[in-house]
Amino acid sequence: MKYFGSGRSGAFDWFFQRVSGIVLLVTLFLHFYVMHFAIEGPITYEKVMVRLSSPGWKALDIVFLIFAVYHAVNGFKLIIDDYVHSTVLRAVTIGLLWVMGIAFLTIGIMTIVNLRVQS
Amino acid sequence: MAEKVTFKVFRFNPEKDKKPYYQDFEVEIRKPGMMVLDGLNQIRWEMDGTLAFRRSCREGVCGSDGLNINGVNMLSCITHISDLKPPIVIQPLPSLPVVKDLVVDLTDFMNKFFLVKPYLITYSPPPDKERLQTPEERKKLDGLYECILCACCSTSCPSYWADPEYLGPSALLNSARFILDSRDEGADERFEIINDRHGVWRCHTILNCIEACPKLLNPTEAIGELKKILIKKKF
Amino acid sequence: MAMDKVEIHKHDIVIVGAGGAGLRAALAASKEVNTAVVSEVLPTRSHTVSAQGGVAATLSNVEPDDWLWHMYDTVKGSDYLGDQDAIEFLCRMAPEIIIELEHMGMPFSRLENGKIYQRRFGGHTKEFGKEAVCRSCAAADRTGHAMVHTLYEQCLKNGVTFYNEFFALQILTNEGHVVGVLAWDIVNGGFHLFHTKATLFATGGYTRIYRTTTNAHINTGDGLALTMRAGFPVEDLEFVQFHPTGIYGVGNLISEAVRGEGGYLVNKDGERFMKRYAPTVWDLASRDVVSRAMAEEIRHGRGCGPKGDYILLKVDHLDPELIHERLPGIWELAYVFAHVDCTKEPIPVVPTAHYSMGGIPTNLHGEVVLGSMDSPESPVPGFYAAGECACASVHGANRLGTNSLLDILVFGKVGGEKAVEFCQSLPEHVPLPENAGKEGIDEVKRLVDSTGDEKMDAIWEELRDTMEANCGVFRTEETLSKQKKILENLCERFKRVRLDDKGKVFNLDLIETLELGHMLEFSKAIVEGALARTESRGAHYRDDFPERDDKNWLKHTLAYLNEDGRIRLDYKPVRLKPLTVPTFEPKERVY
Repeated sequence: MKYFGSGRSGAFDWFFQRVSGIVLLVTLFLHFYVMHFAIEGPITYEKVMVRLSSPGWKALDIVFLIFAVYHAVNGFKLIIDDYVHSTVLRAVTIGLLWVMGIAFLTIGIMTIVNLRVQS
Repeated sequence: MAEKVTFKVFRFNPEKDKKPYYQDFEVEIRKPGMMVLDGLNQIRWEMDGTLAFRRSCREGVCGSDGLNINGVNMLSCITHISDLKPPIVIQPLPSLPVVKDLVVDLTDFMNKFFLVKPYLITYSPPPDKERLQTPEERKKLDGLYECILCACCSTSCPSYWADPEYLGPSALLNSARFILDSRDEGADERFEIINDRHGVWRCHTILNCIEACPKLLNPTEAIGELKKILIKKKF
Repeated sequence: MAMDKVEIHKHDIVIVGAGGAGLRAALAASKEVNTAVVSEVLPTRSHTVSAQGGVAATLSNVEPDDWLWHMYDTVKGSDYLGDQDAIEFLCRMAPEIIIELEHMGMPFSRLENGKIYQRRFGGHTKEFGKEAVCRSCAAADRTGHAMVHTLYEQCLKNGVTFYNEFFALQILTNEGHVVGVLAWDIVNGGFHLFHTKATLFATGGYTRIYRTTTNAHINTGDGLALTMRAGFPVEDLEFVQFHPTGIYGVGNLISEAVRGEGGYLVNKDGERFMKRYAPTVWDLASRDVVSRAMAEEIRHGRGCGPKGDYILLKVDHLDPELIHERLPGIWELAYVFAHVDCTKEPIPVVPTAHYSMGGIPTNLHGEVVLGSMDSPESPVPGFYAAGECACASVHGANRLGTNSLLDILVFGKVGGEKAVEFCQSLPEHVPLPENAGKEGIDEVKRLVDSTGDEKMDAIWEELRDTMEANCGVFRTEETLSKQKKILENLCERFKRVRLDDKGKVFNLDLIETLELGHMLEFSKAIVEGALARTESRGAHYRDDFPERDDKNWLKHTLAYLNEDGRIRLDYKPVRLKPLTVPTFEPKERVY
């Protein structure tokens, strides 16, 4: 009965899409609050960099990155599921999606880890 | 002078036509409360006897006459002409192969119904009398057992159009009818079938099915119930 | 159009019709032998799906009940024309067959204690007519829907072979044996011949010959016409039931269950007139009594509405919660077709052609039988019938509500089992006759190639209107003779009918015209039987002979179709002796 797609049922993906969606929504408000209400005085490059370079924030940002990449890649995969049916084309498009997903994750994590205040 | 309404009807005769086309008919309104099916019959019997469509009970219980009318799936026998904006465009149910004019091939739809094991499964021997079921347990079946297999919901679902393997709202609603029946003992067998990329998880809650169902059933809600049960089992 | 190819299918049993009776027979038969079901429509579209009220069985879930009382009610309801052995069999089998159905998964409504819900229904009483009893087992007011879906699901589980959207054209016989049927594939076109050891007809009723009817488009009595054409008789056709409460103007059925739950009928003076016609049970009297009462009220100028031509069914005095829980389908129908919210206003209703008591004559095993006043009943080898198209006869001259859903289950099962027995007794198939199916093929060819000037609908319109006027609730010699001539004329016109559609694929024009041909044939039998029967019994009421005449007329009418198209009448005695209990002697029928 199954022509295409992996043997997984898709239950986890359905569930986690919603979980990650809620997490992203929460972090969006958090980001907004922190940027516009929690900083004293004018926003400067130094203040932002100090915050972004702290280990706590780096950890938070990496978590946010993982959820965001998962949510985006899963979402695009669903769009591909709707419109692309030929096995060959699916292998190509989903393969590209995996590559882009891993790339964003890697580059993103590297960037976050290497953030430091210019001295 | 009786009022006339224009029906734009989808025509296709596989023995003659290469492509489908639309034909206009002027239907006369002869009595108040005239249904679309009455109009179609008038066309068949007085204007063009070659028009083909399915119909039987003419009161919305058999499910033969599911059609796409002015872009929405409904049963032609319980749709008042006066509720529709003319010209009334009548097409066969979307995404199914057309046999002729407004008749579609329901094989795929029925196959998906057969797949979910839509019959009571029991392993324990039956009692001498009826199996007992409280009114509360019986109430769970309300909104599920009334499905008339008209295919309006499944053929209105974009996921059903996109994925040839997707079971569709009707098959999933019917599987819920048995999974939630307190007398049934085959829930696990059915979960195996519907807990699948092409089963419940293909539903993206588009909600077209609720709009289309002529019996006012809610397939999305039924599918939601199934998803909840599956997630609970998993985590 | 290359129409000469006939595809042959060999099975042990073919069942024509996939409503309640056909599906129940298929379940019984497919367990043992190679069974095929041939149906004009997808099985769940069969008209059983419209049945609302319930199915009768003496389960005694609400109050004590006894099959003997059920039998008495049915015999009395049939105005003593029912065959009492078949009726006893029906009533005794009822509880076990309902329990079996529940085990199959049917979603009956339930009482607080978890047992199957039962409600009152017209004509069903306790202690031989004392007062109404709760005997009708129901699934809200969608009992027929629940039943047919449950049976279809079970057939799927058991892998029954279905030939859906095949239209039966002819019964094939070889020296008195029925050896199969010829059918037309509606979807693709083409002839298909089913060669079998046994054939079971479950083709349903025929009240589409009337203008105002509760029936679906497919209820055109095809099984009866085919039986007549094959040289077999049909029984008691003049007994057509007019259901008291069909929606005015459209005919959709409002179940008797409404009156069972407390609804009642009023005339234009707001009077509950049924108390005058049925002093004991009022609105829960037998259907023929109620229909006639309503028709009398209308005839005497006490009808409601601007034209005084309907009666009002009041339910607005009942609790709206009750209506939405027990009668949701009724509420929808009244709203969609009568524009009435029945929790606030009454529903306009008229007596509506609903059920055909008569049909293919069978015994209590479902075997089709030949017989007459002098010769005892003898079964036709290989031919069985069950359901509305059969006449066992459990309904006699008038049917009680909820007995039909029971009839189809009991005789569907028994007919299927008997057919299986017959198959297993035959070492091999009886061969097909020479030129098997020639008449059926010729008929289709004649219609497709016809160049006449008549249109199907013109003839059908006239058939419906005249049958309603001349052969309806009230009949006289004058109206019936007039109708006989009208039918002769319509048959002549039918010879010149022309099809618009000459194609092969889904030719609905062909099917409707074939159905019209069938309807004309048995309408002649109905009128002939009604004309000859100079008495009033059950649903057959003669203004010129208003009394029941047991001395001359306690017998079944048999109608044969002659070669020249005329009807020949014969009679056979009523089987008054039950299986184990004493006969219920005919008495005056009061409710």
